[in-house]
Amino acid sequence: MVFSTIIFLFRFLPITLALYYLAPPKLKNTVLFLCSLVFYCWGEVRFFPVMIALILVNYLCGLCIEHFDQKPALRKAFLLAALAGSLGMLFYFKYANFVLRSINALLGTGLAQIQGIGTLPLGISFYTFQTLSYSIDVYRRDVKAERNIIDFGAYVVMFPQLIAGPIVKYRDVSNQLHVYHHRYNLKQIEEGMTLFTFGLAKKVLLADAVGALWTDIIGVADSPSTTFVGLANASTPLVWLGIIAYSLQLYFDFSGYSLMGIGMGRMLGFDFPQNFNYPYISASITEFWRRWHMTLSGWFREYVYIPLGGNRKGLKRQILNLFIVELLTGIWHGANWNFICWGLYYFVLLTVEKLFLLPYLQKAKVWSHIYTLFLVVVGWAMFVGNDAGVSFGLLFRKLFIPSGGVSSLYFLRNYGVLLAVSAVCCTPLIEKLWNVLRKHTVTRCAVILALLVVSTAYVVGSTNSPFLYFNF
Amino acid sequence: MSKHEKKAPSLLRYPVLVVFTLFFAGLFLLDLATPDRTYSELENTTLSQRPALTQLSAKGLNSYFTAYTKYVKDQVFGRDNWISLQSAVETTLLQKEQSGGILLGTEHMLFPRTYGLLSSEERTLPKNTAAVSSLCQRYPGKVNVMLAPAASVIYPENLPAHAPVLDEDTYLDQLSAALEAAGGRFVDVRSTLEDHKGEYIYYRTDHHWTSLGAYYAYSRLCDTLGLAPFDTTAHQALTAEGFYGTHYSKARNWNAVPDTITYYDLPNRLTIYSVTGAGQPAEGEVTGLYDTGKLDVYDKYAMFLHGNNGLSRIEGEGTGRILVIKDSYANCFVPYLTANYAQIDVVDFRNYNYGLDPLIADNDYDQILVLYSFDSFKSDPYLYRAGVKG
Repeated sequence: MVFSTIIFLFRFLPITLALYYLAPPKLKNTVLFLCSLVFYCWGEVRFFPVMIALILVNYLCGLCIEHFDQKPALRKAFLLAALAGSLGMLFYFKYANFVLRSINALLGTGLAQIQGIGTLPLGISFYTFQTLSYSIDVYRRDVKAERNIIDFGAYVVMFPQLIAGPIVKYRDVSNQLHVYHHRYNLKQIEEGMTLFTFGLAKKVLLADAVGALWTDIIGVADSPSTTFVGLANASTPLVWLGIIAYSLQLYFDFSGYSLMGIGMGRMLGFDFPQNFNYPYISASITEFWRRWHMTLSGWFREYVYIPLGGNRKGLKRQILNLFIVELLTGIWHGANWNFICWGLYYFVLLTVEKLFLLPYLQKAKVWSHIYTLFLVVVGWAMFVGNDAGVSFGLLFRKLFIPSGGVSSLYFLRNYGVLLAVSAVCCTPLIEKLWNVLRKHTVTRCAVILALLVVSTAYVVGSTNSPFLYFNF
Repeated sequence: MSKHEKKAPSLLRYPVLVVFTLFFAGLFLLDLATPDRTYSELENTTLSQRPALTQLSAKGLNSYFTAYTKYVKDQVFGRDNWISLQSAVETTLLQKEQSGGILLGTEHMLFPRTYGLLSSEERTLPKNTAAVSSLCQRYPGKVNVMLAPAASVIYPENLPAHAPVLDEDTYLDQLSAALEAAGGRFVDVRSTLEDHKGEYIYYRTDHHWTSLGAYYAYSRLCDTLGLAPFDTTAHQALTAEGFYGTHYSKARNWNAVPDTITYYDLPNRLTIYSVTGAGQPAEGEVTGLYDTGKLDVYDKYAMFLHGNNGLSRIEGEGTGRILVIKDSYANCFVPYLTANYAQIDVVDFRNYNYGLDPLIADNDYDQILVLYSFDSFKSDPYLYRAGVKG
């Protein structure tokens, strides 16, 4: 189920919240668990056993790791079993066919593809990372193993963060999960509702609307009756405009979704970590990665970069560690070469900044922002370079070898206001404006109501609003 | 009592919570309370109905969930108003020049957003060209092809500036050459329509030409065939106001100006045949040229010739017989032909699933007219039947 749909907004969410608030304290996690399972299964029932298996494997391994506290070999064995469970599932569904294809292409072999896994189980990249963090934390004795399987299940499949994060570590929510009375208060619920409204508006009013500029150029993959310019016919300025629109769409789409998740988490009484912090105002690539998809970067830092030695084992080792993390970041985003390219591209940029560029960037006022935005946008071109309607080579030729074709003027005019609004919403200015408006009850309520009403209009009116991170 | 008194002020301290809850709970309840519609006139489409869970398997559940999601979206409370609101926000606040895939032109003209040929049209256009060429070759000297250009060809200056719409001119030139080479006559109406562009020849809110536009195109055909055109002064022109067409139903722009439909009061008989096979059918329903009942519903244009029937015959005042193979552009065009022919047979391939040769053999037509808009000529998946021999 996608958040920005009628079925979610006006069926699932009201019913789930009502059941959750009305349920006796002891049953709240059960309600959350069952509703989340319905949410999970709505798109694809076949993957129900996948989720149950993942919960069971990690639950049992967690208990065993703790039970054999004095037996290091057994502890390690159960940790490995848990890791194999989570990573194995992720690998099987997301990467197996890509590896088979790549082996076939490299070695000329004719290995058959695995059938029936053309679509990914909803949110598998997110919840496997959550179960991984749980098992590792139990192994490290950072948290106690969860004894109640309902509570554990509620954590793994919790619908607000299931499909698109933020990636919530078990220890972030384990305390709240065991608070049965007074888990939430009205103030918290109100905050959650506000965040949810902003997230929804970001997703449907900005992401989908500005993304239409990009699909005007490349078409909509699953809608062959939608007319489009065609990348080959577009002029270089139009392709740049399109890729900028795509960059805005990606940010609003993902951060809007995260914000809706955080908001709903808060309505339920949980504090999820922040996932985006105005990434497009960064003055260096290093800073960009501290502001973009923060829970993923944080995850890699905690479970990969630091265990490998981080920056404590000399510069060479640090660069190697950086390489591994960026490679994994790329692969995490998708099973394809363009994502690997994209990850390595950031490895190179981060290394260059680490080696010498960063001090200069920190001194600069203007060009450091231009530098960062330019490189990030080029990065998104790599990121989207494998989508339907885009050919990697053609896209980069169009971007960097000036060519004529359909002019950008009409699109600038048609999307001009939206692009300007989007640009403002990428900066903390929008937060400052809200801080002024929220002071008065009337303006505060008016803003929220207006955003809800207009967002609903867009949700009803939209024929096509895919969630970009759906297949991650 | 005291509990309630305590609760009320504390809730009022969280006004956003109240607003948010009322919004979602209110819409949820309204959604449940309002009856489902079967058909959306405005969108000209049937709406999904509440699905039933038929089998408790993975497949059954998946299709149930998908159907239910669509059902809830189609039947949402106030659907038409939400869509109008979205259009209003897009066109006023965001100053967009398009809405719902429709370009908002000057003088309140709406244009379809056609940036290029779709991949399916890359296949159907050559296929349809070949089919009509084959028809021209099989009936040399008899086949006239008229392709109505889109309003954007005649009124490019009314399009939003620099809008990259498909260049129909190039395609029409190519088609003209190909069909002439196959022994047909290409009746090019572009210059005729351009000569009259100061008049009301295309609807603002609909994709069709008006009866007046069709009349000028018809006059061009008369010039080509040496016929005396229908005398508009000899007949009473009737009008119907308040016509919102297909472009409007997509664009839903708040400032749309409704169109006026004009038709001539003609007494001719129209027979709508029940088509059951190739060749001339025997059974049919006899009626008049117009279905005036349609003037009371949304899709008013459907009044001409009672919509798109597979095969119909009109008895005219002229001499000889003509076969018209057409899309809906011909529906307001055909009535003029009553001045020139005694028998006008009209085939619409959407509801006529056969080749033409048996019908032509049974009726021995003097002329054949293929009348399509370029827009449907490039995309029509049934026109290939014109090329089917036997």
